[in-house]
Amino acid sequence: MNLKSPNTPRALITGACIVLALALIAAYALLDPSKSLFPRCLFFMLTGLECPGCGSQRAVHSLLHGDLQAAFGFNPLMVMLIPYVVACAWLEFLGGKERFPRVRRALMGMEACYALLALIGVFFIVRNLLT
Amino acid sequence: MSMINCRECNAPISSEAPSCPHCGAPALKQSQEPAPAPSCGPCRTPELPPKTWLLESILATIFCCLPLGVVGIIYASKIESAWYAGNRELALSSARSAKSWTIAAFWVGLGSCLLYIIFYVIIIAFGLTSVMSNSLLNM
Repeated sequence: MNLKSPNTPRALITGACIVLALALIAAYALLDPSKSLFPRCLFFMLTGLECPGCGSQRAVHSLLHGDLQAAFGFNPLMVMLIPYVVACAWLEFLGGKERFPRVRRALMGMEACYALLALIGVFFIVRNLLT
Repeated sequence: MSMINCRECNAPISSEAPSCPHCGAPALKQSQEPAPAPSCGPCRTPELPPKTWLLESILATIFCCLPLGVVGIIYASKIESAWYAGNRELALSSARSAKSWTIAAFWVGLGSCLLYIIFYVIIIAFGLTSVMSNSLLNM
């Protein structure tokens, strides 16, 4: 893995991100977003429509309590995208894209982007038609 | 071994002498070592497109800054198609746009969270002061 930028700020940023992530995980595990003072979706407040991200805070809370079914109920898109996001994170930051450029192109290439856009769009429409 | 001229006093010296025996000036190894080969992109693996910010755009979309995150994904697809069509310029400019849209999405998300926190802090502070003034009045 060859890093272009010097190592120290990168390590610092990584460390800060890890601390922040752990703090967020603790917050989402201990507090229920549907009952406590978590931020609400701005898009929902403005338009009354559920955006593709609505429910993901509650879904994270359910996931951290091991309740996959409830998480799926809150935001199925987020739950389904977790493996994909993990794969992308590996490709992007852990050297996957240098070692497997073809996997990168399959998962993050133009077709993948279009598929994602279509998935997000369909999910957005369907979830607002159903509710 | 060959003879070269000292760069200071111009006396003939051995090309392998570390310094000139006449004037003592350190000898420069003149272009004896070949310049390091330029890092060979194409012969390693096919060169990767610039960072597309796809992952970050997806996260921004899922965690609720809808329009901005989606714009980031659209630019990511533009980068990919332009890059593999050989249009380097367009790919790089799309990469810049993708970056700014994704970062904007991130800040909007963070900003709305902060607005929430400020909102609640004001409410709590207001509640506390009214409780305290009530208890002071009742004393």
